[in-house]
Amino acid sequence: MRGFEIFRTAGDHFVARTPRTAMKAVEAQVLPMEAFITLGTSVKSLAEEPYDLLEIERVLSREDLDLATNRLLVDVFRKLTGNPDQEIALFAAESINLIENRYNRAIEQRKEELDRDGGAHALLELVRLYYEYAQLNRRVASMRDFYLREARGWLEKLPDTLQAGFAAVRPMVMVFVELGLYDRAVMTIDQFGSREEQTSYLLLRAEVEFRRRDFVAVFEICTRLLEREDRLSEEQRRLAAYWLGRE
Amino acid sequence: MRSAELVAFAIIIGAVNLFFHTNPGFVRGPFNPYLILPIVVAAYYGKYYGFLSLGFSIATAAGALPPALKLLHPESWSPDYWSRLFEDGRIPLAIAIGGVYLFGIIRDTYTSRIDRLRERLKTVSREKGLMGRRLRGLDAVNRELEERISSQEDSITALYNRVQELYSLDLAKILDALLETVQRFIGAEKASVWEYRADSRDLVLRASVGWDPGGRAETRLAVKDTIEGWVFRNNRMFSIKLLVQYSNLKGMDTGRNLLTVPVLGGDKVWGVLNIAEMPFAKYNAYSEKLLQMIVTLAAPALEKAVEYDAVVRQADIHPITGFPSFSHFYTVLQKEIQRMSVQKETMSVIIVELVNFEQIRGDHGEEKAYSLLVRITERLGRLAHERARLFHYKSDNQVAFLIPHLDYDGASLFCLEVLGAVNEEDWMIDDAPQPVETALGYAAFGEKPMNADEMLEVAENLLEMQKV
Repeated sequence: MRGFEIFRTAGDHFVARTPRTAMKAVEAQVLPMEAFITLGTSVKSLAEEPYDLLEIERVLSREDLDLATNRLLVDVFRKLTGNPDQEIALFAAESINLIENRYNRAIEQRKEELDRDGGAHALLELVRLYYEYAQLNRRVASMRDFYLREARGWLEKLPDTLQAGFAAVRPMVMVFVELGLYDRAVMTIDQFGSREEQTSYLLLRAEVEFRRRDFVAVFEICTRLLEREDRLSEEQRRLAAYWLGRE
Repeated sequence: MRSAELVAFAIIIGAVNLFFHTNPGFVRGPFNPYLILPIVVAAYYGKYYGFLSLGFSIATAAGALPPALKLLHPESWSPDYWSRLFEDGRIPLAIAIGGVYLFGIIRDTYTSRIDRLRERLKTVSREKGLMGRRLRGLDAVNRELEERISSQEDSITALYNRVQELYSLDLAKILDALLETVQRFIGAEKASVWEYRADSRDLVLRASVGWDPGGRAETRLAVKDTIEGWVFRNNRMFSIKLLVQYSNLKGMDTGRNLLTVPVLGGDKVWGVLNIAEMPFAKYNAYSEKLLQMIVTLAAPALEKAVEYDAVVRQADIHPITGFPSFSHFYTVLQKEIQRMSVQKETMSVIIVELVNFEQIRGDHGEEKAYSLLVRITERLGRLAHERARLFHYKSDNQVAFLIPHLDYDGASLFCLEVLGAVNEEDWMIDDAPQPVETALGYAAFGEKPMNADEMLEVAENLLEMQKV
């Protein structure tokens, strides 16, 4: 069968380990396109065991990782620190250090920016960075709470006249939620919630009420959300419908 | 512009011709610039300009040159100028017309081919540019998707791996794996597993995740008037949104339950799994289904682990290794043989002996020697994908593995893997490598009926043969 010859002739040719190397080998006509397709469609999660350390290292080398990826990496590394192979355990510990240093560096830069310009942008960024840092340490309560309190400290310095979009408001609200200050979270939503992004703010409000365990309020918000069904994404619609028992 | 250039050339030739007034029109002699010029022009600019140039040459020789000659060189002028010009120049003119046509055609064909090639080159380079842009876009999308997959925690392959990890006989390990799976796939931040105890008629906490050490208050729950109890009694899932609809559940709510599902051990309810905290975005129909799926997939493994747990609880347990004794192994083996005979399935017994155990015990003490035996056994248990049940065998340095769904060939292959794994790994005691010698014996039930004694005899014979 066409395309499967590459497996039957394995051992006679170069074997690529990653989609990138396979693509380069295809370009150099060392491997057929099937080699790239196979590897390209067989990407596995970093969290899958046994861990692919090379792939983890490749992803880690990127500086611009988002919170979800950083969280996943930190979880994997925390698990690897208990590895009986000391080299792997050391690599894991150093990698956690690397991610944390990236956050520390970014925080220092924002603080310098704040000293220089005193802009609200740097303040919002500081809140976001501390919130993310707390999320990375969400399984170590003392560290998580420390960074959340830091974030809150910077939140208090925000000017009342500040204009901010949803992406900046969400970490602010979540800092209050994580600290159990639900009324402050609701006040923040009311302060910044714009008419244009009302759906997103309503969902955020539902999230706050969910964490407060006021499920009747969540139910009411979902009812309001479904009244404007045409403005909801499929995911948002399903979430609201689920609460109302329509899913 | 080009026409003016051709007129100028014709005039220059005419002007030169005035110096050679005895040969008007250069009709005598082998070289006639009036006719050479159109051929060159045709080869250079094409046949249209070639004929135009020929026209200008004729006009110069026949129109402009006679008055100039009459004025400047009257002695060279005669009224039969045109008839002589025609007479002497008609053959070169005919050749020139042919030449202009031929060179013009060649040049036009060549030019049109060049134009086509140029057009093609333009198209190719435009397409290449577009392709490059598309490729860069696809590359970025590919990278993004690749990263999205690699940072995905809840892929189906990851779920498969997690379910495989559930296949252990260590109940505590299964429950931890179950909670970890729920953490990863449902995003549960706080979750716990409760076992129903028939003797005390309550639910006992067996495992939990997300609480600070010592942060949990309850470890026992009543079956009545609790949501966990309601889930257990009714074998029904509880979801927090039900509180909005059912007042009887609202009365039981203590803020402890978001999603609570019955946990099955085989086909009966063994206990409940409760999720106390999870992200709002994850609380949806998908997570509900996924949770039920995870619990259903865990049921067969849990049933076996619960059975084994019951055996271990009643059994005579080795104080250091924690493995059940040989007498229990023998009882379990007999029961399994009966079951396998009815179900027509295969099963293998593998005896592993740590040959230099006595020497290790002498050098490092009993506890460290047994600890090494446990580590080796755990490693072999992983090789068997946690399907094996472990027991002590007749001697202190022997352990027996009871592995279901493994025939004679499978058992011999497994033994080879065991030898490989034992020899590859560095076994350490007090940070110093410890040489390990093992001997293996095995027997398989399935192909021919055997009782427990016959099976053990086969395995022991193989074991003894290795030691010789």
